[in-house]
Amino acid sequence: MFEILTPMEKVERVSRAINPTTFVATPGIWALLYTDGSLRNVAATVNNLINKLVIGSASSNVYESHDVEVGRIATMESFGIRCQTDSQGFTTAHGVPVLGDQLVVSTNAATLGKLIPLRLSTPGTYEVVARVEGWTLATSVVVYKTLSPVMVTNASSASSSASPSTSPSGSTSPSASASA
Amino acid sequence: MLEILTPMSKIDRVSRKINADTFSSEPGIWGYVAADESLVNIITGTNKPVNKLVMTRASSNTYESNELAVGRITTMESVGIRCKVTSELYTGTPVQGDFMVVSSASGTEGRLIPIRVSAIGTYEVVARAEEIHNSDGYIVIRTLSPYSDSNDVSASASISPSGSRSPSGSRSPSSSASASISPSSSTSASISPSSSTSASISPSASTSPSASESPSSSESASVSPSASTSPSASTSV
Repeated sequence: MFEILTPMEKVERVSRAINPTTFVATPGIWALLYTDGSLRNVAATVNNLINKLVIGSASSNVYESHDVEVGRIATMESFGIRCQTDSQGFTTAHGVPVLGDQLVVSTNAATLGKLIPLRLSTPGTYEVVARVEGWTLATSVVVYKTLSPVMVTNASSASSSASPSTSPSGSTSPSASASA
Repeated sequence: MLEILTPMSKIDRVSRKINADTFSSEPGIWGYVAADESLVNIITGTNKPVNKLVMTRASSNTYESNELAVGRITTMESVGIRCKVTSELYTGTPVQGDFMVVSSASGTEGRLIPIRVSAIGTYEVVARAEEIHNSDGYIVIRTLSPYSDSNDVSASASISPSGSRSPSGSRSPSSSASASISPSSSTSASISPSSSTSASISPSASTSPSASESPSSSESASVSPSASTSPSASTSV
């Protein structure tokens, strides 16, 4: 499930070129942007500089959901947009989110393109694309808001922690970055 | 050439006062906001804390393009706006993901430049390169929620975008950015404004009084080098 909560007229939808024979579209997943402006599915273990939120789906009769057949897909690229999603666009495979979590795009093989809290991600440098603003444990539905992106590095010790409240390696201190 | 790709109704256009006798206007260049909120051309060798994108040119009969004669100019000041920018309006060979600042180098004043290849100093990061169309002579940028970042010697000397840049930059985002990179759960993280640029978060900066979401005046304070640059934060590697 994926739902954009901000009124649609305020969000920016971009139609991007994709390869219709290979691209797998699911509303709520994130895909990587190529230098030519086209969109591709996230590859395992490869963190990308620029990721975009897919809102078009594979072929169906639903409005704006059959773009894949013609080699186009719709993405939502505005900042500050509230969205909610369940396991379709968010993974709790490595732990549950807490409010304020910075979200990045997972490149784990089993959860490609789904959002994951940075602190629970595999060590590496990621584009932070959103932030958790709501979380319902019973339904595993997360509400997030898209951000003006920044690149952030997750230290190895951070990712090994399953507890959100215990902060791994520390804080956003200069020394943290240095050690990374 | 500047082409704003986001629908016009969604962007924030601001009419700012300029000195009609001295201001040089060109769509796509950036000017800086003075204390009185007027717009001034970038001064060589001087990085300004608050910069705005000029949308209109000198006098002509085109809609919204002849304000210069009456001492006004229109700027585009929204964040998150996609813009197509041709090569005469940027410098430094951007690559995808580059965080862009406003150049104050002689000959390229007011143009965008990747911070990793900029001259040494502290800059306001204003946009990010998303698409690179070198053969067609343009890039597509997206404006960002601005923050201050520093470039050091080794960074400016590096031409390779993928090359590493020593983490000298202390990042003192404006309020919103600060919040976004400093979640309540203290994630260990270093910010690297581009793949090749590594900068660290300066908690003290993010909690400073100047880091408030505010109009240009206080925004100016939040990105001022003194407020945002934490030398100690920038040196450890």
